Amino acid sequence: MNKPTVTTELSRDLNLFHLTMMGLGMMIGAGVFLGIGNAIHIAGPGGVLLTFALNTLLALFTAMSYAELSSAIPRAGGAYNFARIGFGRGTSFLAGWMEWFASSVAGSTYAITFAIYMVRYLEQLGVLSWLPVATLLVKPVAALIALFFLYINYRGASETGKAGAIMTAGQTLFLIVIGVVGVVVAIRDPSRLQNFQPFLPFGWSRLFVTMGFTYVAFEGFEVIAQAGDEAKEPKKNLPKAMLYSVYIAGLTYVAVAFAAVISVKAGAPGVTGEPWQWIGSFRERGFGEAISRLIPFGNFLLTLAVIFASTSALNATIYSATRASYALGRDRMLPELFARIAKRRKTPWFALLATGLIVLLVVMVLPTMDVASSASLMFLFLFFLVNLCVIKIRLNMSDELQYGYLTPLFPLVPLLAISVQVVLVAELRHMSLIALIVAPIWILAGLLIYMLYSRSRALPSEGEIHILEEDEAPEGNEYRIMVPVANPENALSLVWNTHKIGSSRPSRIKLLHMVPVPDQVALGDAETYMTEGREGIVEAMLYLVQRFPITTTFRYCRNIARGITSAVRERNVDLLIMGWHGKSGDRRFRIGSTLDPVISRAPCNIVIVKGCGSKAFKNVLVPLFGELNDAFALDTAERMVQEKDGAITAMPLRGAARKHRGIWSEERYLERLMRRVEHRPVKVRLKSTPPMDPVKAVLRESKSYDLVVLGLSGSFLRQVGVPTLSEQIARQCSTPLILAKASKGLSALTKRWI
Amino acid sequence: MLDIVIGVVIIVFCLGAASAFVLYSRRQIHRIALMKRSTYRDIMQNKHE
Repeated sequence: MNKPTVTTELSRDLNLFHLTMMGLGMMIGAGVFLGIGNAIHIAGPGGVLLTFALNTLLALFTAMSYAELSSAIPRAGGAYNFARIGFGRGTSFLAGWMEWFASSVAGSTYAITFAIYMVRYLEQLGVLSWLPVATLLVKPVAALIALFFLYINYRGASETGKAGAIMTAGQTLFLIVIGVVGVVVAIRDPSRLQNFQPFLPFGWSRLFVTMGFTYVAFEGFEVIAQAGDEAKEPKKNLPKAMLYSVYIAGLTYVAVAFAAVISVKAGAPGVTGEPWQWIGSFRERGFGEAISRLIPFGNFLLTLAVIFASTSALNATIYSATRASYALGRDRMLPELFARIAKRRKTPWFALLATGLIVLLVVMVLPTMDVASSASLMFLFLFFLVNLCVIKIRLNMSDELQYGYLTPLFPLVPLLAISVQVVLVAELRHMSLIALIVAPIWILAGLLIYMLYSRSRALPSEGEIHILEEDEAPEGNEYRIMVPVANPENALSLVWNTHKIGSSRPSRIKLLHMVPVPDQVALGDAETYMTEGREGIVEAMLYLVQRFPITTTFRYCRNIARGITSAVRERNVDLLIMGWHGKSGDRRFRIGSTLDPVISRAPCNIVIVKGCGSKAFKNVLVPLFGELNDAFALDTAERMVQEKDGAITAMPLRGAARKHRGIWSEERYLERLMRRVEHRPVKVRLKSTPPMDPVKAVLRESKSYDLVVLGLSGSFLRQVGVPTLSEQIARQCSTPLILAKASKGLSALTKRWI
Repeated sequence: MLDIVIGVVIIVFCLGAASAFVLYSRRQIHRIALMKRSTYRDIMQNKHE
């Protein structure tokens, strides 16, 4: 008897404010306080503003990808989850594994930053005068603060969110005050704007360097994605929190960088050279030195701000790392222990413990700041992967997921983000030696664990397609035809027509039966749904087996359209033949809920057969739309018509060739089409369209023919709900009908590749 | 001087574009939240109705 499956879940405590502050807390971490001085040193006074403005927009692009995916798949795991659905187990394990490490190492960095500033502050107060070397305290203090936040995280998401929110709100407010003071000072003393001369003293190329090391500071949306299981109204709050946090962080950075540049007056006591050179000469401390001249007690307040910033970032990173390892445990990529949840606190205690061990190990044993660059590399990899996922998932599963947000200007936005990330990875080539050792060791260890443990134990995800039975014949050069057989009643007529279409060349036929498994049934119990499908397949086989080499496959999945598309891609199918009953039960779909997505996504030629039965056709009408599919429709018509006394009538629709204006005239287009069919055994004659609505013209004409073959196109129009001409005709036509779609051009190549 | 002009234009463009994206996204999230079903197809069809 099967052991009952026990599912565990986290409590939903985090609202929009908590989520935004969690993201913001991770972004306005100590790194930015230290980064501004460095950015001024490398790129100049204008360079620092440009760096943050450009990074805000670019980070927003990746945040939009995260927002779309999190709204549709609101589960703990972030990038790991998206990669699981988009690319399968191997890639997703690596993503989760790297996410766990990168967040843990980032946590260690923040703990060390906190300790450095805290010890220095205590030193300034004279509290540590009894210690010979105060810096010896840094590591123990870092370990203590890490332990404190591990405990806060153990207390629960609400406590974690609230603790982070208070600290983040404090530090953000402080930075906003600095920005406002900067603007006021610039208005009262416009001569300070001269500090921006020269704007880019080292040229534009230095911008890539500064963008490279500050871009990762915008990683906050990752922690928000991790909160998918714990967010209230996740479809709404997760995307909003991601976009708001990047936006607030970006504006704050630009304002604060502006304040830093104008804070020093040229020629003031102690300032040597240009103000920006003077600030830049302090490198990491430059921001502090500048702000101390802008507001009273600037240095002291900044120390406090860094302490707050590092603690809120530490809190957020521990949370993020814990959820990454929890997600791996939940899907049994790591031992089940990682998914154990404390009964009272509802937090993943073992994942937290394991994360704590990594954080403490990096803090106490390794040179933390050197290891930190490896985390940057891994975060960039995750962002890159998420941008790929958003494209792949939108193209393959957009009819299954309930979105709360859609990335605008798709796919331009994720593609732009990907290109920039590739450039920025190149800028990380100056990583420290230790980072170059640690990062590959962690990745190799992950690969080993996956090969030896995770691959065989991972639970199937809801989106996966499983092959129940499949017989395979050795591959040849034949034309590969796939026929999904769903309904035993029309299986025979479907194979009869498949026989006609395939008979003109050596073909190999694969019969496919997709077993749809309802959401409430576990995928493991899907075998019980196989019986009905087998009947149709057996009938079809008996008919076709004497004429063609045939193989069969039974697969089960949640979504039939995706299962068919996936089988087409895996088996490199050349032609997909499907049956259609002639109406769509769901008014959102133009042809049918299974056919519509298959037509848009399957990377092969498609023929859809409606009401053809087992008849022989003599008179076939082919309306021409002036599109790529016309030629394929003519080819298909030729195969369906009787060779001896059959005839095809091609009817160019009014205005169809208008699409070719500029390159082909209407006559030139038709001449080209006719040349293609002139040496064929079947006669093709041209018929002009009467001056009326093309749909009505075809419907009236179709009554005098045995069969109508239509080229099918306009996948974009179909997606947005605008019926194309061919669809309007297909839905209203009472004559037997075939819809043909050719797989050609760039879009076909892209579909095959993706 | 040209550097400053181009630089300021880029900064204004980036921050302006970011604001536009955030405002547009906010509206879109609210619109989708009112929908009963929100697959990509539902959202696109709702937008064009």
